[in-house]
Amino acid sequence: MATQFRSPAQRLARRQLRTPRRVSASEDRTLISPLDKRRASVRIGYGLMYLLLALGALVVVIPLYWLFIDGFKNSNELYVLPPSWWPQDPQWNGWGDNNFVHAWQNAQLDVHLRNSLVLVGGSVVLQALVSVTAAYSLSKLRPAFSNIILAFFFATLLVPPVTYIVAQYIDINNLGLGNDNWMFLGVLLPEAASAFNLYILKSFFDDLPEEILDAARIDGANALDTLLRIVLPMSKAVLAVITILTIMASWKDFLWPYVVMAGSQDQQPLMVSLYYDWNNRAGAILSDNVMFAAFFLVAIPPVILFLIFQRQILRGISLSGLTG
Amino acid sequence: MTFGSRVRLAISRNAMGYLFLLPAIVVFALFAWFPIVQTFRLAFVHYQDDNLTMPTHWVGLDNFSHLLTDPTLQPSFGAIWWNTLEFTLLALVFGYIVPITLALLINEVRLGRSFFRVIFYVPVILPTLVGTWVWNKVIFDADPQGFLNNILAWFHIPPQPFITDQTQAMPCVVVFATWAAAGGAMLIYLAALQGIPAHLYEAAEIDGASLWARLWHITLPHIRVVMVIMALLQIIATMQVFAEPYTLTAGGPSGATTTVMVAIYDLAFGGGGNQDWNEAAAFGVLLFLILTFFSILYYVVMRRVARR
Repeated sequence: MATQFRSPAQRLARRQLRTPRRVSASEDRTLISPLDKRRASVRIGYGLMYLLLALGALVVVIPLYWLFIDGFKNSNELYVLPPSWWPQDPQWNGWGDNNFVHAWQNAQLDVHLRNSLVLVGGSVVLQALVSVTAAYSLSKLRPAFSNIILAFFFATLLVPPVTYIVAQYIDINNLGLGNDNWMFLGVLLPEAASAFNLYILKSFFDDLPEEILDAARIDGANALDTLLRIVLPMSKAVLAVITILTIMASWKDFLWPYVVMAGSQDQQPLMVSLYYDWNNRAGAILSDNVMFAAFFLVAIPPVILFLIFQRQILRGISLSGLTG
Repeated sequence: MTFGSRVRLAISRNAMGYLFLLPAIVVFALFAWFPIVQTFRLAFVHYQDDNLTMPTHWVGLDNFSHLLTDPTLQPSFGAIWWNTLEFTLLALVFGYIVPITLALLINEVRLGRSFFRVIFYVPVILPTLVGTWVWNKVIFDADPQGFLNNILAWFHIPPQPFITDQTQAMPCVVVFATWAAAGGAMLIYLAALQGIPAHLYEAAEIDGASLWARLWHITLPHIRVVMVIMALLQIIATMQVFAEPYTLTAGGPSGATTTVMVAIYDLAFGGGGNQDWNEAAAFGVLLFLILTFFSILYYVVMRRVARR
């Protein structure tokens, strides 16, 4: 039964979230036409375009190259100028003794990785708890006065959270979320109060056909059943996009956890902790080559996630960039 | 269905509806609306002894007028806004030229299109701190033998001080910010370019329109709306810039890259002995008014676009 219901809406969902299929050669026409390409001047221009793109790619890649290679240098070679493109004396005494392992130990990356993962996981859970439920209610249950509540949520999109960061900090401290492990909630809850994903989810739920939900209701499904068994399975694609973007944003997040967790090293996520290491946290001075190794390590997870979930992320850019 | 059962159904539907709304209502009330209102209150009162539970008293516009003349503010109030404006305008110029050029080029090439798309997006996904660390330590090394100075030497350009110089620091932050963010805008322009119908180009070509004429009369008009939207989004994002100047140049040298958010952070949490919640909140209110103006403009534009 359920599969019969699901298929049309799933097709709809797929159509909305699908990256455009490759079009045939005649459709794939851009500014420069095949006719243009026969002209010598255009062909030279075409070559120049590749040259420009290659140059741009170099500008992108070179800082990343230094990020990687400087983690292999010793403390003296790191400051040799001009910088050496290849480490003369690579700091690699096996997998157990190198700058990357020293970074892991001396910067306590394990502790801060755990903190980062708590924040990443927490932001995803709160996402489901706050945005998904609210979007479902506003889109499908529509209780009385839901338009007023909708305005109450969406009006916050007009106000960038950084402008009220001082009051927010005082607020979470007054609520007791500024101490000990409550800090994690102190970081997470204010960030969950973002109507951005709520907006994307609601516009997606709005497009799910009402008949399916009505049919489920007649079959005796309650609101929670309908959400879990019909709405969410039909929204897998959009949920994937939002989840992956939430994870990436949470991993990068700096200002707010930096403010909330300033005084408590044990709770700091990677980015905050590494910023303190950069500025020589008292008592634990890390050399620059170890810092390079540490920054290289924290750059790996988002790059891997990006390579795996490329489609969802690129899709999310156009979703969030232009609808939000 | 009887009247009674219909009423019961309506009640249960509303109850369920509100039950699902409850988490969001609580979170938004406590962590969005309450601090927003509180910011305005903070900006017009004075806390005694920095103790947040102590009674406060109304001081009118004192916090604002104190901001204008505060000698502990480094640099001055005017200079902070000037820095922010400089960043916003420079980032807007770079933020237009670089992503649009990249998108136009990538849209034309066949071979390696997806490779370039991925490569240019990598800096966007990296944590800001990773980027600022490398640019601070290697690229913008002010030593005559530093990385960028070495490259400049190939072109016989004398060594530059980069982030150690008051006038060059802000352009350097903008260059870094463009490196870090251009890929995102590029993807949006690329999507807009791919939405231009092929028959327009064909028709123009048959009419004998040159390449430049096609670029000017077909391509650019078609991405104009996206360009306006992106400009507004970029103004909103760049006026609240924090992590880039804060970690790349620490707001310096001598406050040359202290933007509004860096100044608010220093006032509220900097611990430099001149901490002042109320002044920070007043500063936040000013930023709030400007950003909300641009946000409203953005939504007005989006609505118009959606209606067409």
